Amino acid sequence: MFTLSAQVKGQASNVEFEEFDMKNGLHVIMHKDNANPIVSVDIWYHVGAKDEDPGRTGFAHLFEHMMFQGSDNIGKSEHFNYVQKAGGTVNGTTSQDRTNYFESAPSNQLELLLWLESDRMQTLKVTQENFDNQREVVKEEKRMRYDNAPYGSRWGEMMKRAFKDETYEWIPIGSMEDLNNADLQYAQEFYRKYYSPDNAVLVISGDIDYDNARKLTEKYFSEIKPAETKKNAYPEITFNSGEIRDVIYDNVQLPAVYIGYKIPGMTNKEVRALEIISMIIGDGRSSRLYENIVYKKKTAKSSGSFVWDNEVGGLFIVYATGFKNTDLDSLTTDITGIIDQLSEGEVLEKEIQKAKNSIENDQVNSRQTILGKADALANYWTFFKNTAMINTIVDDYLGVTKDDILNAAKKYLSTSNRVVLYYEPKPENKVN
Amino acid sequence: MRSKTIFYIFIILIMTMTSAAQDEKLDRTKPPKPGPPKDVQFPDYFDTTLPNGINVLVIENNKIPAVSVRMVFRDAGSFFDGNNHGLASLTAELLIKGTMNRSASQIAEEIDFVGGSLNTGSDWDGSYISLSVLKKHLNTGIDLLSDVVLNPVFAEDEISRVKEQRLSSILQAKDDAGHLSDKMFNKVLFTDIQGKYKSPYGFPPEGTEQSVKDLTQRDIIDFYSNHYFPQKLIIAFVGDITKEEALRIVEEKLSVWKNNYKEPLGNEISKNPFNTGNNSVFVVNKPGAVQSNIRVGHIGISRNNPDYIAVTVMNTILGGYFGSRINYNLREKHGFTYGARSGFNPHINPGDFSVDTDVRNDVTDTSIALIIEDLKEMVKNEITDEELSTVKNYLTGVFPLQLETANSVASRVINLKQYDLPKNYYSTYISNINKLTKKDILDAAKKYIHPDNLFIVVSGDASAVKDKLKRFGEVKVFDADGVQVFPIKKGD
Repeated sequence: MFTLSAQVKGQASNVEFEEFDMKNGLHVIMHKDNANPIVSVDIWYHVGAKDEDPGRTGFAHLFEHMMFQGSDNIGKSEHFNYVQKAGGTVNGTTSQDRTNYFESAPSNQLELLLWLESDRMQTLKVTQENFDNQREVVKEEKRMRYDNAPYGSRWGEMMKRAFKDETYEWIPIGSMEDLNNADLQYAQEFYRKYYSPDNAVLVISGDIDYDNARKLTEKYFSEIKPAETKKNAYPEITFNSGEIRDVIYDNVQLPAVYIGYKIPGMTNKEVRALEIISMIIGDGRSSRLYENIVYKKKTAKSSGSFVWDNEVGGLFIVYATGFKNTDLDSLTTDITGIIDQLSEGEVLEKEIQKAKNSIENDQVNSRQTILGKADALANYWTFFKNTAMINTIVDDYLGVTKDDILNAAKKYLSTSNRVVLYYEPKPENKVN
Repeated sequence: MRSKTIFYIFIILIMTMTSAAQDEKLDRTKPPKPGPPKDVQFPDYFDTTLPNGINVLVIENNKIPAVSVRMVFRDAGSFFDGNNHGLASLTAELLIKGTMNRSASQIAEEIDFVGGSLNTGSDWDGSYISLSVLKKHLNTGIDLLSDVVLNPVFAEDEISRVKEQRLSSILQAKDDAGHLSDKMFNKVLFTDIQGKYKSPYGFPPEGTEQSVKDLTQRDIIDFYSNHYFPQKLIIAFVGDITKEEALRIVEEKLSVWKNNYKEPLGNEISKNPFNTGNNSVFVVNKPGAVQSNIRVGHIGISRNNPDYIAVTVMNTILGGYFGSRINYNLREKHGFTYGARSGFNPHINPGDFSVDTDVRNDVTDTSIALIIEDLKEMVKNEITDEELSTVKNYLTGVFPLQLETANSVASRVINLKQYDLPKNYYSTYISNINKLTKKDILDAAKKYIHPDNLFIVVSGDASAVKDKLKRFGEVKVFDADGVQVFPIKKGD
């Protein structure tokens, strides 16, 4: 037993941490790394696009912008100003499942960061003018990243087909119509419902002293009241309900195909096996896809695959961009053949080992920054309720067997469990 | 009885704590004061030049059990493409597509098997190879790295495959508004639209459809033998590695390399070029676009310009960070964009200065007008004390954040060497920022920003935006290939 575990032990260094729950439900994780005189504060609120009510798509992300628009003691733009004046950086992101806010700064500024985060957890104050301003900013973000970008609609188009009437039917940017209809009153409801200590985890990572960090956290966060919100129910994800195929005509020069297979939520162990499959199929210049369609057949200019893992369900994505004259039907047949070959049992131990080596390499490198570690800690707490997974996740991957791989492939990577989207150039937009 | 007493004491304790907390009611109205600042030192590194001319750098850091090795070939950048646009970039890409000992697939398989990466690339100032592996796989990585540097074969079938892919990438780039703007902006800034001069920076480093088609195996082999020299190689070992280990690797693998350095035939470039824009407008038509991608600017500075730090501070206030004037104005005040930034893009020779943003079609001209106002204000009046202290705190505060990983430290050390910066550049960086006055910032703005001689490039839907752009100057419209489009007159 001992020998076995020693053999599969990864090389990722241990991340030590301390954690505790506050009375108001705020979970706090602290990680000490004194190598550089810097600190990161990273708050994850367990709310994302999947919590949005019907007709309110894009709201979780629009709301993320509101969190920079002022609270009782901090005016519009002052959050940014305070952090930048302290020599720090600041940002926020919204996914399907969570919204996070983070700052990194010289470590002597820790108290300032906690003051800022606690003030907006407690007393957000947004005026109509600032709400309207950020609505416009978000609409420009949507235009830039999605509407005006080549293939920019692909994930939205994919999700709305794969998860029709289920959780994850839309992506966090939402629809223009819902953004236009968004109102300040609903923002206040949303804030009260989801932005409370019992729906958040606070991570403090970097050049800290555990006792002091804990004391400061108590000082700024203990008086904030929990909301005890009952969240919306998440409709169940169904599998193998038939293949969906569609063609989208876009302002692009080259045809491309995006294939999404529905997979379970990230806490399901099968997802680890699916990640290893995605690496065997599409990661790097020695992957099956690259070897076959890019290098040998030269029917694709580029290709790849990855696992889009969310809390209650996700997608195993395979994609390829063709050349001008690539026939997407035959390209898709080739890709399907590559996947079927694997499902039917053709996996080499060497390929599995290669994928595991690559995962180990990625995990080691993701531990380089205090913010990277903070995000990982917050992630394992938020979705797995097991912060210590930061130190065992590599071993989880290393423990995946060939049988696990074949079982997961058979279960999820079948034609009846996927959406196939072709992106074809609009005839009038071809440049030459 | 006993247990009762304990219970009682416990209650008192709680009450005392509670009342103490209430006594010191938290004052949230004022930001807490920072603790004493900690000293920031630029990390030590090892720097030596070997007999065959290779400059070896070692940036040791044992935080994670990984090593990266980064090679910079200083005379192998796109600057030396001549008329073969794309040559430097394709040569670099082909280094890992086969050697005398390994096929392209074998190289890919070997590096992928150890979970590492081996990548190549190029820009105006050099060509680059970088290896990243876990420490336990270092030997495998080094074998591959030295093989691709010393023994590339540039086989015909690999060249034709890479050329096909490149041609498709060039075609695909026409979909991207930002790319179209960059291409047009560089063309009008750096080539002889006014018969003044021609710089390689005016041509696309990835090549043109014609130049890529025309490239031959001979061109690529010649570029490799005329531009990859040990005398022009900087090799940086980064991470979990000692200088002894690094030197042993170089001795074992690269000391045999004796290619004799020849001064490359450079492109003619005027020493102090300044192509003036007169605020003329160049529209790259992208029918159906829902946003305009904007570049407003002119020629900037070189990386080793002695005013570089003053220019950086000035530009940060103008458009270099979230709290900058331009971003505040266009985003937080007007809601015209998701973000707007300005930047100097310095190379060995002066690169461009530009303000970049994406805005919805109907505010394209208004946004450009606001940008020009911000530029004018920057060269007219001194910044405020508040702006100066904020930007100083910001730039000196984020400096240690930028030194967090061994690779980010290495990038800065490589910069020192690649751009011949003073040895104490980073150790004096913070004090040099703190020395700057409001007058220094205004002087830098006046010297390096020219609001009356701008080039304005817009990539977007010409039919929706072009008429309103006439307020700035002459408007010319081009297609995605850069060919000027003239309005079709009735009766023609």
